[in-house]
Amino acid sequence: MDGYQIFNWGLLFITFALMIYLGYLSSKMMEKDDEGGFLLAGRSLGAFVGAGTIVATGFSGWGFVGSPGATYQFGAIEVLGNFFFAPAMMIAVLYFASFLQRKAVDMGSNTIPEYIAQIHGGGALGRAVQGLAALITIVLLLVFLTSQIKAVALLGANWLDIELTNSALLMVGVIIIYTMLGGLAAVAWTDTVMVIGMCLAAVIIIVQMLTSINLGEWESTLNAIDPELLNPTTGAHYGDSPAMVFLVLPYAFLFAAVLPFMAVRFLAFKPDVKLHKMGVYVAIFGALLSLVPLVGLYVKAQVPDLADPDNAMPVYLEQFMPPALEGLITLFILFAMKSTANSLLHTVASATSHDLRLALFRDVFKSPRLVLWTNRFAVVILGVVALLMMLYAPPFMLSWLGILGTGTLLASFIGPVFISTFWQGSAWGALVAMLAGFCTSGYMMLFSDVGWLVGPLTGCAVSSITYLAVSLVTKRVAFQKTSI
Amino acid sequence: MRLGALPSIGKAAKARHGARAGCLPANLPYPYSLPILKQEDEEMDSWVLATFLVLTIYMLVHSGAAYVRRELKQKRRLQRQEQQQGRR
Repeated sequence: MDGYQIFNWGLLFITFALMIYLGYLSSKMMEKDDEGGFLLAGRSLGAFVGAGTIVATGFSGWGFVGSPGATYQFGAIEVLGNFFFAPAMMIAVLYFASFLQRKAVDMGSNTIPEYIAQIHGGGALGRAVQGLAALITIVLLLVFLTSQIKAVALLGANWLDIELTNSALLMVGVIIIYTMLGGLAAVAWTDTVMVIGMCLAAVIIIVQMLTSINLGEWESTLNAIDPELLNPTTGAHYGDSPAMVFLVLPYAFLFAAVLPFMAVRFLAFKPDVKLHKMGVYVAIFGALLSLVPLVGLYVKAQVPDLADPDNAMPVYLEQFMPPALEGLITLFILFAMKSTANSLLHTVASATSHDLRLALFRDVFKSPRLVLWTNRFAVVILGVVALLMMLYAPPFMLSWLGILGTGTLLASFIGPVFISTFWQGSAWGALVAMLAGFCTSGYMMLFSDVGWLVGPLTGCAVSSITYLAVSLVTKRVAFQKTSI
Repeated sequence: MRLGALPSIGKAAKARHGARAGCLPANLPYPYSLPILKQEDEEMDSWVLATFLVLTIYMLVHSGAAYVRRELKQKRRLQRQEQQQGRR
């Protein structure tokens, strides 16, 4: 083991110790609270931690590895496409979060499926709605979680020079420990630490690039390779027209506002949190992280003949960064992946231990202590399931199903989560809309060649219309304040 | 639209390594160095990057403006409440 590897292991263990300590601290806070302590951090997230956890969860490993690879292959249009996630999160925080938060506090909702059930009147039909929402969440997010674990394990294995299985065990083990200990509070606090690291990585990368290349030379080099890289006449991987890239903004907004692993954070904010302050933090974090895909253009100019575009970031770190910084930035990229993985694990576990439990066995598990341990047990079990899925499932399916998962979940939940916050439909409307969105987006992504933007957005349109139409012809019940 | 001029730094390094026209050297021996800070106007012509830059600045300005607006609103509301309490 050489000096740099010892350095990398040292970095890893210091951050692991910090994260487990944060998990322990948040568990102390949680013991004093009810189930909302584990599921919603006791509604204690302030502006900075709220912004940190939203941005860290929204910007996964894609922003550091996938997006620079796509930029290397398709050009600057990917930089713009990836950027839209930043304003989308800011818009969701400034103009949507307060509505969702207020209603969730009124109803006492602890999760997004529970919010959907309660806002549509609760009762027996509400339990069916909660059960279906939980099932869709579990199926689609478990696959996404598996693909994130795979990405973390692969990067960790290369970084530490260990076997993939050992790397996966190491990385997932730590995520399970702190998520199990502290629930959403632990996830949010560790996310905040991680987003600071991610932003630091972005700053280091941008300083290195801008101080080592001349913009005019960079432009002429890229234009000599392919003028489409800087001034595209098509939307490249977004579609035929360059205007297609702007569709990422509504997609990313719905991603931030509707997906359970993102929207649950709005429920966890302090009731008196300053959302406008959080919006500033989100904008700053988002602006910094949006610069990272420029690495793809940098590597394209320097090393134009990479066989695999996805190697743009690894090649950049290897060839253009000093080894110590390479180790540090790799750690921050691991952070980006882990911050999404821990949020997914927490959401999938709470959908199982809280939502499915309430939908199926409403009157069982009355003791708060037993409920807390059920939630913790679910984190361990689902973490192990995702780990096994990662080890035994075919890898090509995982990354593809990850994209299918988020898009389809978005199409399923737009009516029951987003529209219902402003116009309350019926429980039947919510049930049918979830199924319509699920089938439309799933079908279009599986059996047509419309791409990852058009499929989910069409699913969203179908789901929204279905939600409105069915709600208008069925009985609408006012939302219930108490748990169903 | 052209991106604004940013200080150019890597020209000397490029000359040192004898870059060929149209393609920068692939494996610079010490590529992560920050050799000099040259104050020379250089631009990058790309409508996509220009849009990216404009939208990034707009996002930051918008969030800042929203913050100031809501803080002032909150302050005014507090002042009004204090005045009403004073009258009573």
